[in-house]
Amino acid sequence: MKTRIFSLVCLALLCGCATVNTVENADKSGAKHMISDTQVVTDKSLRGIVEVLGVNTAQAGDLLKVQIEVRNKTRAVKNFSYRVEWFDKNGMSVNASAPWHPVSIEGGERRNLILVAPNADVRDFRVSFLESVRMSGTIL
Amino acid sequence: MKNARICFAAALAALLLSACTSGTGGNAAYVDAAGPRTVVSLDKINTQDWANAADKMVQSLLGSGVLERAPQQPAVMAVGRIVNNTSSQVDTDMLTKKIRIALNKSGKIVTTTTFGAGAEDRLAKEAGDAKAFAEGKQAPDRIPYYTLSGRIIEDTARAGSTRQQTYVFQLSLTQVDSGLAVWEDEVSIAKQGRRNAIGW
Repeated sequence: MKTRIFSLVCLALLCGCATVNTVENADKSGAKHMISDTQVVTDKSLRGIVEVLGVNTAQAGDLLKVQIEVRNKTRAVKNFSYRVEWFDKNGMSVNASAPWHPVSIEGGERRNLILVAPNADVRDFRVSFLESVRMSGTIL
Repeated sequence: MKNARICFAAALAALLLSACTSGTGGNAAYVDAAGPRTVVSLDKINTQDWANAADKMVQSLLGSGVLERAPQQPAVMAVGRIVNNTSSQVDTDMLTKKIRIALNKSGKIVTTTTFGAGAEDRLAKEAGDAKAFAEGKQAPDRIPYYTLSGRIIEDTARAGSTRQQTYVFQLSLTQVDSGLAVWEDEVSIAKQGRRNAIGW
């Protein structure tokens, strides 16, 4: 009886955990311009869920374009948010009130966050990540 | 005794964790209008949805490089009709104004507010016409190089007591000379749940 209940519980837990398999061309013809990044971690649980695999930059005309590849390290779908802040040549923020963007990422999925600078004066950027702050059980 | 200690520890942990995510305890407080602690509604487009959609549209438009092809920089753009195909009354300026502001700050677009019969700033239009007349000149050429138009569509789906509300924002940038859409994009925002909630 106990074994049956334990098996049912395990089955119920595993049913919500579909992960992503991928296939891609092994010999890449595109050339990524990967840059070194500095990560500041204040939320270790978020780092345990979503990891930054790399940062790639390019130019879209005279605008800086950034691609950040992230991966869900768990087997379950996870929600997080990100926001990008851009800085000009003097280190001044050019978009201090940028919006947060919600992301829902499947278990094991790799996702690219593509960001385009708001003007040609931008030289640097900082992307902030935040774990879901949902307060469960709130009824309105 | 051991079970009581475990229960107490679990309750204490839950209390501490909820303090990290707790809101204002019911008292009114300021929150970031485009931030992750805003209300998520299933029956309307929230402020963060407008900000999210506008930001994605702007990034797509700027990243496409199409604005740099205009012969005059910054290019002149007029905002055309944004059709509301949702079940609620919305002010489409919630989307277009954010886009106009961002494009203006990019230095690549200026929006004309005095073009057409439905000019946004009638006073500026009349003042410009009056000035041109007084100086014996032709009225200023306000014909835009680009126009922005679009549609907001709502889709509702249900599965039992769970509801999914999807808002689809569609925009097109048309080059006036050719009448062709030189940029188009679509952003979908889907919200799913049984009731509204705070935070995301």
